[in-house]
Amino acid sequence: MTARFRTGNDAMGPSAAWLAPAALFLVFAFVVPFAALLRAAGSAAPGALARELAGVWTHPHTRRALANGLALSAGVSLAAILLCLPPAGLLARRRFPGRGAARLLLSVPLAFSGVIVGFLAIVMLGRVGFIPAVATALFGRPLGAGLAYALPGLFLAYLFFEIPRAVLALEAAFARLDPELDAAARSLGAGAWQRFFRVTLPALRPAIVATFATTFSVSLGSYGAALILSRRFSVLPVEAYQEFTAFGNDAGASAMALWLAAVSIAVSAAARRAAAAGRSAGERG
Amino acid sequence: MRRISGARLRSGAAALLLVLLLAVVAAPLAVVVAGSVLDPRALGLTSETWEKGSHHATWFSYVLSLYGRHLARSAVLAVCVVALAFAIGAPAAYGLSRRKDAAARALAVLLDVPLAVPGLAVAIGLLLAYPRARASGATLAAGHLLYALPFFVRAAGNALSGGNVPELEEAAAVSGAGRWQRFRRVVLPVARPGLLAGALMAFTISWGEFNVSFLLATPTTSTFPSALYLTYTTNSFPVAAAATTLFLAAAVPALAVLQRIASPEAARFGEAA
Repeated sequence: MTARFRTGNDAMGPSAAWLAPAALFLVFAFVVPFAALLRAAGSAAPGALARELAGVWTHPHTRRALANGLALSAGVSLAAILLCLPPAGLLARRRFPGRGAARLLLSVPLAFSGVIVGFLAIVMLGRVGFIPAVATALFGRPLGAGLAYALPGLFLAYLFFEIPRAVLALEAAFARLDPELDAAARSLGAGAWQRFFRVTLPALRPAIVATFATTFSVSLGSYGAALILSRRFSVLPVEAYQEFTAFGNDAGASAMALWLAAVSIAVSAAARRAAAAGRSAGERG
Repeated sequence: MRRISGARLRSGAAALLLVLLLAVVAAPLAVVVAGSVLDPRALGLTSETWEKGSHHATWFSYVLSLYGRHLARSAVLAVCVVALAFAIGAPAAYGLSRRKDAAARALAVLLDVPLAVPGLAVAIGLLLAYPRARASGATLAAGHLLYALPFFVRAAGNALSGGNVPELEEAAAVSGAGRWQRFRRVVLPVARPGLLAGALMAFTISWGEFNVSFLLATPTTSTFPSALYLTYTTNSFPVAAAATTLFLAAAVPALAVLQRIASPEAARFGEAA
């Protein structure tokens, strides 16, 4: 409890020791395991790493699983942004009764794993789902029955999962927009659509790109919904899981894990760069 | 005239989309929660016949008898993850908010990288690196913490550098308080809402985590989301609905408090979750 006066040191900020626990944890919980993935994929022989990595792409089964995941994640992310952009703007700019409840409800899927989302899809669009039951009562036909197990169901399940991420991120971006810009455009005689496409959308571009990266990464890495729903439509995490647990193929599973990590990190890095470029060029410049 | 109708049309379309999104999220949740207390035949969800006297209350107690251990483990693990996030993350957030050197920048990047790495990749890596730590659940906790920590540090960092915290700290320094004393007596109390927001995010992430847990968990460490997978694949609808409702019973209040105390932080949750 000795009170010391250390102006010189304090002006520099706290010592690096404050960062040490987090740095140590990240090294042991992330860097070392990542190195273990590289080692497991390449331990068999010299050049094995490249061969295993190439094998994921040349083997039609795993390539299809990877391509499935990429297409699904990109499509779901685009759809989530398109669907969530207008409501996010509404939530950010208007104060209306029930706004808090609406935001809470839209944030609930944040806590879900893909498995729960898969179950919800079956509840709504399974062979004896709620929507077919309602459709039978109304139109006499079980519309949408079994849809959960086909590609549209998987798409909707992943979309459900990304709604909170897209809405909350885009709402925050709308809230950061400078209202003066819109007012200036209005005073110059720009119409509502013109202002949206010429002023609002360019200013939101960095946030849209960042949101795409987030939803893409989350979709690519999530496999619970695919595990529950898809019989034929496989994604790479499911393949890696089976390779690791059922076949004990550490090298193959590690190669798939590295593919997933590499694609996801590359998309995030590209998005981060694009967002930073957009931000420095557009928002403040 | 046309300008006004354009703006009207736009906000009308936005309101319609908002209602659509709300319906898409609310409808399945409502059906599941209703299905956990009502006869599923009333919802048109099954053609199975239920034994007379099979009471809805028993679905919850049945779930608890099957998966009570998983539920308890998930709660303990989530609390441990929150405690670890606090112990490791609060000092890191403080350091990051006051230092702008290369070490701080490197740590900030390293904190965020795991968010872009699929949970299954992290799980396989942890398993390969520490095969013997699996049984204790240590790798499971590490995997959860890896995804919870960046959110905790960000929420805490905003709280620690926002408002008048730096000025208050300076005043305490001038009055002769040392670094640790200032952190404990000045910075932490002022940053309490942000720290609470970070803690709730860490709890929510751990509570729902499946991507890492499904591979890392053993029968003795397996958590509730893995139990949900078992329920969905082996049990009937009312049991699955009751289990899902139990999951929601902890997740929704956490999200509600989070939104109440810190909407900006909650928004960031969406930005990078």
